[in-house]
Parts: sequence; structure tokens; C-alpha cells
Amino acid sequence: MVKILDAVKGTPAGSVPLKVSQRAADGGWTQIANGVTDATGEIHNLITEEQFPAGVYRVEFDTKAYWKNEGSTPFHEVADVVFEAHAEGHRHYTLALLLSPYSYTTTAVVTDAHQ
Amino acid sequence: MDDCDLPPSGGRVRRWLNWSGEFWEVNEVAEAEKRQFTLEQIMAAAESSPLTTHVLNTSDGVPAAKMALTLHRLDSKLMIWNMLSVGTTNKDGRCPGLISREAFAPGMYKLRFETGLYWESLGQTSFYPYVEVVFSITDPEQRFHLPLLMSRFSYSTYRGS
Repeated sequence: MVKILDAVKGTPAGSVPLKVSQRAADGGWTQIANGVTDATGEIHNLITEEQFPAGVYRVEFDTKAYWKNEGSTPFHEVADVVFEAHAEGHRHYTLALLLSPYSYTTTAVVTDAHQ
Repeated sequence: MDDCDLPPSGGRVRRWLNWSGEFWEVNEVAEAEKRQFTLEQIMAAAESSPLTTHVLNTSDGVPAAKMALTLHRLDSKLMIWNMLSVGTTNKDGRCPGLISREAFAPGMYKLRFETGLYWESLGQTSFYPYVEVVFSITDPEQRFHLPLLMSRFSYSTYRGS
């Protein structure tokens, strides 16, 4: 799950393209999903549980495309978030991303899927 | 070895970047002897890097010291990243001397922070094995200060000057 917010407008960031990749044994990356956020700044059904075993994943948020679309010139080329999933057992992850043209913040909300 | 200043000649410097058992060695003695820098020149170069960073541990409210980081520039023809410098943050969470004015050409850059290793050294796990900040420089005459504020489950970065 992702949740992207626009800190300039004070709204969710819709239409942000993103790609999800999984790290392979040789250290390379395999793209497993891609999508675009909706008007609430979220994407649903991006990957299934089967596609999401324990391991290292990368989500590349095309924040530059978002800001250009908003008419701003951003500093960062991309917001690239690499994380390790299920290291301590199966969990549910939400990657939250707060965007500004010259700054971004990401945080993870990790919940126990079985609660 | 904790500071990012170029070392005086007469000591081999080894930097470990090790999330998957790899390490890189940097022999800065040969480089320094080639260029025959005086200590004053080294200090001057270290202070005038147009690109600086500052890493802060927002969990504990302290600078993140002894964190390894690397600076890379994209070769846009070959589409590969070239590593430009390696460093470790000092006790203030800073890393002077990242790049010289002369070497700071326009282009796409990446600053990679070995945050996972840092949290490990504190006996903690972290959600992120490392953090990479990717940005484009069109006007290298400016100064770019790129701090990283981080906790185990979150990080924030911005462009200051």
C-alpha cells in the first residue's frame, strides 16, 4: 500500500507513476508491478500476497513527473525507496510519502496482517 | 579515519560498505602523493565542497556519526553510475570534502547513505537497507546542502544551500 501527499497544496498526490521491483539473488532488480496513484494518493491491488515473499523491494516514485505536471521544477529525479519486507514475520506495509519540490519524506507503517 | 578530510600521506584508508559482503578499498595514499597536496590545500579543498550533507538520527536526537556514504554521477551515454567519492560522517554527522568545485559538473548525481549498516552498528534493525538520494544539478555554481534526517522507519531529505 502507498499513500502520497502533496505538502505544497495540502492534498493527496494523484497521478504519481510508480514501479515496484524485487531484488534478485544476484543483487539485480526485477520489476514486478507498476501503477499510478489515484486521486486519494493511493494504489490498490498493486501486488498480490503471492508476489510478495520476504526480501528486499524497491519502489521508484516518479516524483519528477508529478511536479512537472504541477508546473514546478523539482530537485530530485525520483524518490527511490528500498526496504526489507517480512524480516520478522509476515506484515502489512504502507509506504507513506510526503512531497515538496525540494524535499521528500517517507515513512513506513507496519502492521500485523492478522490483527 | 572518522573524518572525511583527505588523509595525510602515509596511511592506507579502507572503507567498508558491506550489506552483501562486498567491500571497497580506497588507497588514498597513492592519490595524495601523486598530487602532492599540502595539508593546507587538503583542508581548503575539504571546506569548499559545493555539495555537503548532514545526517541526523531523529530517534535519538543526535548526529549520525560513522555512517558510510558514497557520491556517484550518472554517465548519461553508458547509463551507468560512476562512483566519485567515498566517505564516513564525522561525529557531527557531516562529511566535508565530498567533491571539489572543479569536479562538480552539471549532471545527475546520487548520494547513497549506508543507513542499514549504521543502525546495525547501534544494535538495531531498520526498514531500509540504505538510502539513495538522486538529483540533477544544472547550475554547479550554487551550493547544495543535502541533509538526511532519519529514524528506523522513516527518513526525510531536502535541498538547502
